[in-house]
Amino acid sequence: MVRTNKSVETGSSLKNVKLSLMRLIWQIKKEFRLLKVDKVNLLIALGLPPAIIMLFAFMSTSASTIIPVRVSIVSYDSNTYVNQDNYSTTTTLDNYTDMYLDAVEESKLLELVEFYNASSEEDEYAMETARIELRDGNIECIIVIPVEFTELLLTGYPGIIEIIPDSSNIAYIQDKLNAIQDSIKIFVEDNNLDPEYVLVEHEEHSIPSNYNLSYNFSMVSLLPFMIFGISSVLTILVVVQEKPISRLLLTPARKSEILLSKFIVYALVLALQVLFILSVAIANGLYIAGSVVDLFLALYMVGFAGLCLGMFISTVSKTKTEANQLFFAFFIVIILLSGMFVPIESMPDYLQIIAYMLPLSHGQPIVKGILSKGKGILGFDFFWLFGISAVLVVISFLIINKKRYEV
Amino acid sequence: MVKVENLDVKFGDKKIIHDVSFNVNEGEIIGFFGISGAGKTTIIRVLTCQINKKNWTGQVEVANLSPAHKKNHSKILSKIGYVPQLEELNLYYDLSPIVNIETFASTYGMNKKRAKKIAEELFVILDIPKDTWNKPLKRMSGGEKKRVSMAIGLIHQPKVLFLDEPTTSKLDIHASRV
Repeated sequence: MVRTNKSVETGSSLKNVKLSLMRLIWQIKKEFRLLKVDKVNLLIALGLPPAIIMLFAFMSTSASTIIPVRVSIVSYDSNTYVNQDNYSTTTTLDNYTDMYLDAVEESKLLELVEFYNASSEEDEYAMETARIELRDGNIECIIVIPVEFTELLLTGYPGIIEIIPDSSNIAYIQDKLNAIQDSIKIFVEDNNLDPEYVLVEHEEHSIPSNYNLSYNFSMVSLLPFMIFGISSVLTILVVVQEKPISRLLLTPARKSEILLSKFIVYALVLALQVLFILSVAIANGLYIAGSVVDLFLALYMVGFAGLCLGMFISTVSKTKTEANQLFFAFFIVIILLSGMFVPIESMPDYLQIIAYMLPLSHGQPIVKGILSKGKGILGFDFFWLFGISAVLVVISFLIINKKRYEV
Repeated sequence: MVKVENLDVKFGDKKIIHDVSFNVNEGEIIGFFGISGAGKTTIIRVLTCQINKKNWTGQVEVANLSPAHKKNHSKILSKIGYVPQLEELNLYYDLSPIVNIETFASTYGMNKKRAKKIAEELFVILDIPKDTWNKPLKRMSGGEKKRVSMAIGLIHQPKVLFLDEPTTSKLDIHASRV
């Protein structure tokens, strides 16, 4: 009897397990069916990761190719000397500046952008012009040939070459020094020169020694990245998750008014966010070569571009999940192509075009310019960010006006 | 007050409504009855300016204005009230009933003070407990939410009130009063 009961119990528990298994299989089938219906999410879930890896691969294909350091040479060298014995002038036929110029042009690591002969009256403001070029990022380094360059070499003294690298990005200073060393090596070999060379480095746009270098260097990338990210995240759901919008539209309220109110509120919130972030950053020792107001406006503009992207995603998406997935897709591409991982200049041409169209690729240069170089806010990057934001605002309004809401 | 003559509604090749006509005079209450998919909500959507004119034909007037013309939409919407079937489409669950009312009242150009006064009157009529007026709606019961939704539909004292399935499920003991 006991044995029979046990076998009945075993049979019933087996039946329960079987039922439970069946239920599980049906649940799994249902989940697959739901996934199949949600094509956008499925595409993002399966297609996006490989696409990102491919994008990264494309970005890195030409990253190993040498990108020459753009330099300008300012020469104070003169081959006319005053004879100290009788105060007459002597002119030698040797001009080592020209020879060094040949070496620079020969070097594959350097690209000569401009040569200024500061010893002539024509290029009286050579150094000032070169410094502006350096600040604007048109060149990465100024090579200065001192006044007695040829004379020292002729008399067998060590040659002195002064260099002024753009030190706002400490990660690339050594690359610049190596490239210049290469030109000196070529110069020595081509001209069979014995003397050693002294490379005198004057860093321009570097962080002052009394400020924390790594903190300030990180802030250049972190500030625009963080503000852009936070303002986007904050707005990606504001339209898509507000169900009563459809009911509000059965009142005299208009779609454009509803969207505009969201833009205004989040633009004000952004102002507070930027203010708080900036205050904390300054309190922790942020070095600002330029104006704090410019930095605030620059960060606000970067954040506003993020806000506009978030609003665009929120208006274009049909569900919250779609908005989240779309944001991830946009954000990862924007981050990858922002120049944080691979310099934009080293990307293939077609990716460079895409990269320069994206907002964050312009956010970092503005912030870097103000923080390290004392530049103002107005410039191409600012207007580009403004333009992208304006386009996103217009598209968002067009989308919401076309969007069907039904109660 | 509401005039519908020979209303046809079509989406693509699919005919949803065919030749519907009816009139509603001031003070009258009428109801639509029909099986699911008969087009009851679609008729309300035409009357409440939710369906584009290209999808319907016929003569329709609400408060003596035709929804056929876009310029009339704002005027019509300011004269009608609407209580949807699902409260989640009508209410901000994280806000209190009073704030919900104020939000909708402001779209009709009503000031905060007046909106609050009317809201309180409506809440008393609809038997919404006073201790819930300033608490988030998400804490209220289903029936209470439905009644707040009704209050929103009535806040601007509309000439025409549309109720979509008003007595379903959640109005509890108040269903008969509706």
